[in-house]
Amino acid sequence: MIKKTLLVSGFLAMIFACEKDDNKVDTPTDEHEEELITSVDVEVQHVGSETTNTYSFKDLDGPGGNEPTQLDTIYLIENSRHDVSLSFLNESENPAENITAEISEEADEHIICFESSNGDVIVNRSDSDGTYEIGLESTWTSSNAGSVSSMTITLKHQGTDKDGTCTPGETDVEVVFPVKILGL
Amino acid sequence: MLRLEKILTLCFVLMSILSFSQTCNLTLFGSVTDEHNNEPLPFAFIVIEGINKATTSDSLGNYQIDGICPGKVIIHCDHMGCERIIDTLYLNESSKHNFHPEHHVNELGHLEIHIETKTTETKQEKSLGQTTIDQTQTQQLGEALSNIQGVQNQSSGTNVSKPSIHGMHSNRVLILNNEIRQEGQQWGTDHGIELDFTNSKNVQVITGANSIAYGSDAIGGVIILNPSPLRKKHGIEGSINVGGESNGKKGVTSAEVNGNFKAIPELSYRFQGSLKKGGNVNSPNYYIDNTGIEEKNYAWAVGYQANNYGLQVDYSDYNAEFGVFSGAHIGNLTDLLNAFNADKPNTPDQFSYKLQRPYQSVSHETVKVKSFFYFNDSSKLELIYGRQFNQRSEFDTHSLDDNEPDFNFNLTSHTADLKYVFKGKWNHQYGVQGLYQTNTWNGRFFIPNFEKYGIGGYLIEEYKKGKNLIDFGLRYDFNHLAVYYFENDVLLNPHHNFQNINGNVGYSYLLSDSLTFRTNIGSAWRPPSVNELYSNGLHHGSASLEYGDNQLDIEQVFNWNASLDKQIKKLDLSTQIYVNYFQNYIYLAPTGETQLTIRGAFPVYEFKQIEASIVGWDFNGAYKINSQFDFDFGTSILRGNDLSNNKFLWGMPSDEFNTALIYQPKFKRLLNNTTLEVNYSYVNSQFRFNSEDDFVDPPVGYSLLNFKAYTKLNFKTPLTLYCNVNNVLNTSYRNYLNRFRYFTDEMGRNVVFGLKYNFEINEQHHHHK
Repeated sequence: MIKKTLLVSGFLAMIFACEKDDNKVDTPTDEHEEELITSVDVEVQHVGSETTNTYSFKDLDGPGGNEPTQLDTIYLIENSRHDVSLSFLNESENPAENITAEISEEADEHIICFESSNGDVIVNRSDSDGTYEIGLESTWTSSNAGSVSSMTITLKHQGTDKDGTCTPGETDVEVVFPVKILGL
Repeated sequence: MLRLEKILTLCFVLMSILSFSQTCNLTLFGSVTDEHNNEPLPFAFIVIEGINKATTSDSLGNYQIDGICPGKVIIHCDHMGCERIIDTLYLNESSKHNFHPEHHVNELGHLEIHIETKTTETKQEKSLGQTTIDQTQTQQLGEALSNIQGVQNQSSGTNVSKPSIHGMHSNRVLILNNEIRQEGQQWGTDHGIELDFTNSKNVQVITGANSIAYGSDAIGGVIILNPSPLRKKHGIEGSINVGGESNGKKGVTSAEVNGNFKAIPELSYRFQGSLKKGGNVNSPNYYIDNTGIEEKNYAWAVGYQANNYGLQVDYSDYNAEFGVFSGAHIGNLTDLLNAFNADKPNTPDQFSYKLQRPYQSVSHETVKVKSFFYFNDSSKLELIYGRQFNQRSEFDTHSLDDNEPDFNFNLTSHTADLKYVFKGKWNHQYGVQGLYQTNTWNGRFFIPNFEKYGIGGYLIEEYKKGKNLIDFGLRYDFNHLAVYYFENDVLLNPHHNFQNINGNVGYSYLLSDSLTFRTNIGSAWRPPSVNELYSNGLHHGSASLEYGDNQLDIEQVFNWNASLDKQIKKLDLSTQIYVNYFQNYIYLAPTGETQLTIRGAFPVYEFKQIEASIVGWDFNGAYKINSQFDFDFGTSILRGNDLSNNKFLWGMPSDEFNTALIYQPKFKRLLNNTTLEVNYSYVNSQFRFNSEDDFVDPPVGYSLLNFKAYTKLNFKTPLTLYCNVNNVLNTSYRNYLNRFRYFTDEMGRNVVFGLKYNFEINEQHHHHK
C-alpha cells in the first residue's frame, strides 16, 4: 500500500512539476530582435538651396554576418551652413521599421553626438527633449574646401542618466562617415 | 533505554528485526576513544554482524546496543578516518567493550579541509566543513568554494559566480547536485550555476579527470553537493538559518525540516526553502549600479526505506532574478575603453534594491526519483531518474516592451543512471548512464535549437591489500547532437556524433594517520558545446563578434595527479601536483580582425582547438602552535600553455598565497566553542598573458585581510552565530577572473553575519508537553 502510494506520488510529482517547454525543438521560432538598427540616413540641405541629399550607412543583416553594404561620403559646400536631419531604420524587416520615431518618443533617454575628425565641420544640435538637446536635427557649419575628414555620428542610449553630455550610456550606433567639403 | 535515545544517528542504519527462539536480552556497551590521545570519538558507527543491530557513539564517545543473543558476537567499529576495528566476543552476560580506533583523518586546522564522507580513495578530495557552509549561506557557490586551495571564483560580478578548479570551469567542471548532473546553460561565462546551495549538507570537490563515474565535462573535477540524508529516527529535526551581508544590504533566510513517522518508520520526508534579497553592492569608492538579487527556492523529498530496498522522490525549484551591472553591458569598443579608463563607472552612484534592465531571470526545476535494492550485505543496485527544466531569460538594456525578455532559452534534460556495486575481494562498480536533452529559444538568436542523446557505460574495480589500494576504471560514451536552425529561410538540420573511451588508474597508500599518498592517471572528455559549434554573430553586451566552428572535435584531456598528506608532530601538510595535457582544447581565440557594424568595429573571435597544458601545485599546511592557537598557510600555483601556438593560455588564475591565524579562546560554558580567525591572502598579478588576447592587461596583484568569528552556543539545542568581516581594510582591487574587471573594482568591506538554530523534536517527548 505504502509502496503504491509512493510510486503514484512519484509520478504525480513529475506530472505536476509542470514546467514545460511550449516550443517544439524541430521548428525554431522566427528571430525577433528588439530595436535592431540597420540603417542611418543623413539628410543634408544646404541652407538657401532647395535640394536635399541623403547619405546612408546600411548593414541590412545587422551586426555580424555580411559586411555593411553602403557607407556614403557626405558632401558639404564650403563655408556655409547645412540643415541636417537624421533617420534610423530597421530595414531587415519589410516594411522597414522606423526607429527614429521611437527615439523621438524616448527623447529624454537618447542623445546623438557628432565628432569631426579635424574640426572642419562644427555641429550644433537644434532639437530638444525639454531639458537637453537630442541631435536628430542639427546645423552643420563647414570651413574651407579641400580637406578630407570624417564625421563620427554616435547614438547613445542613456536611460535616466542623460545629462547633456556624451559620456553616460550605451552606444547603439557609431558610424564614421567620410566627409568632403566642396568649393563653390 | 534513556541512553539509547540520546545517541544521535548520523550514518544510514539498516534495521532488521529478526526474532530468535532464545531470549536475547544482553547489552553491550562501552566507549570509543582515539588511540593516540584518548579523546572521545562521537559518531563512530558500531554494528553487530549478522543481526544487523547498530548504533553510533554519542558526543561523549559512549555507545550501547541491547537485545543481543548470548554466544559469539562479531562487532565492527567504524569512524571516519580510522581503520575499521572488527572484534569477536563471546557473550554470556551483558558486558562492557571499548574501542580505540587509530585516527588518521587529515584535519587541516580550520581551513576546514576535513575528509568527511569520502567518495573516493585514490583521488584528491576536499570538502567544505559544516562550519564553512554555515558561514557561506549568503554567498554564491563559486565564492564559497574558493575557500579551498586550488579552487577559484570565476565570476561576472557578485551575482554570477562559478567555481574554477585548476583553471577550468563552465563546461570543464561537472556539478553533481543531489546525484543529478546539473544541466543548464553553463557554457556561458556570464551564466551562473542555477542551484540553491543552502539546501546542501555537504559539498565536496574532487579534483582531476573524473569521467569514468560521471561522464562528460568532468575535466577539471567534480563538485558534489548533497542534501542531508532523510531522517531515520522518528521525530522531527531541522534548522533555521538567518544571515545578512552589509555590502549590498543582503538578507538570506532558509529553513529545513526533516522528519520520520513513528507509525511508519520506513517513511521519511524533508522540506526546505530559502529566500534571498540584496541590493546594489559597493566597491570602496562607489556603488556598483544594478547589482541587486532576489531568490526564492524550495525543495522537498519523500522517501520510503525498508530493510533492503527503498524509493525516494526529490523535488527542487530554484528561481532567481539578478541585475547585471549597467556599466558592464557595453555597446561597443569605444564604450569598453572609456569604461576601463574611467576612475569610476559612469553609472549612478547610489544604493537601491530595484532591479532594472539589464537583468537575468533564471529558474531551474529538478525532479529526481531514486530507487535502490540491497541484495545482501555486499551488493546494491541503484536506479536514478532525473528531469530538469532550466529556463533562462535575459533582459537587455532597453527594449520596446519592458516585460518581455530579449531572449530566452528553455533546456529540458532527462537523465537516467543505473549503478550496480558489489564488494568482495575486489570492489566492483558497474554503471550505465543516459541523457536526453532539448533546447529551444525565443527572441534574439544566439544558439540554435538542439536535441541531444547520450549514453555511457562504465566499470570501476578496486582492490585493497593492507595499506595499498588500487583502482581502475573504463568508460565508453556516445553522444548524438541534432541542431535545427534557419539560414536564408531554409531549415537546416545538421547532425553530429561524438564518441569516446576513457580510462583511469589510481593508487593510494595509507600509512596510519601520518602519511597518505595518492596518485592517479587517466583521461576525461567533453563534446563541443552548441555555442562553440554554432555561435554566429554579436555577443550582446560584450562588444565582440563570435563565430563557432561546426567541425570541432571532442576535447580530451590526459591527467596525472599525485598528492601527499603528511603529519609531522604539530604540523599537518597536504600537497598536490597535477599535469593536464589537452588534445583539442576548445577556446575563443581573437582573430586580430575587426568587422564593421553599425556600432563601430568589433573584434572578431572564433572558436578554435589547440593542444594545451595546465600544470600546477596546491599546498596546505596547518601548524598547531599550542592548545589555543593554530597557524594555517597555503599556496596555489598554476601554469597554462597554448602548446600549438607557443603562447600563454588565456584566463588562467594567477599564483596566490593564503595564511590564517586561528584562536580558540578557552571561554567557559556557553561560549566554550568559539573560534576567532584573522586571515591574509595575496593574489599575484597574472604575468603570463599575451596582450593581443585581451582588451586590457590583467589587473595588478592585491592583498586582502579578513576576519572571522564563530561560536556555537551550548544551549539545549545548539545555536551557531558568526560574524565575519571580509576585506577589513576596504582595499580597492580587481580580480583577473571576474569579467567585470574591465568596468569596476571588486566589493569593498563586507560584514557577513548570521545565526543557525537547530532543533529536534522526538515524538516520544510529546507526552511530556
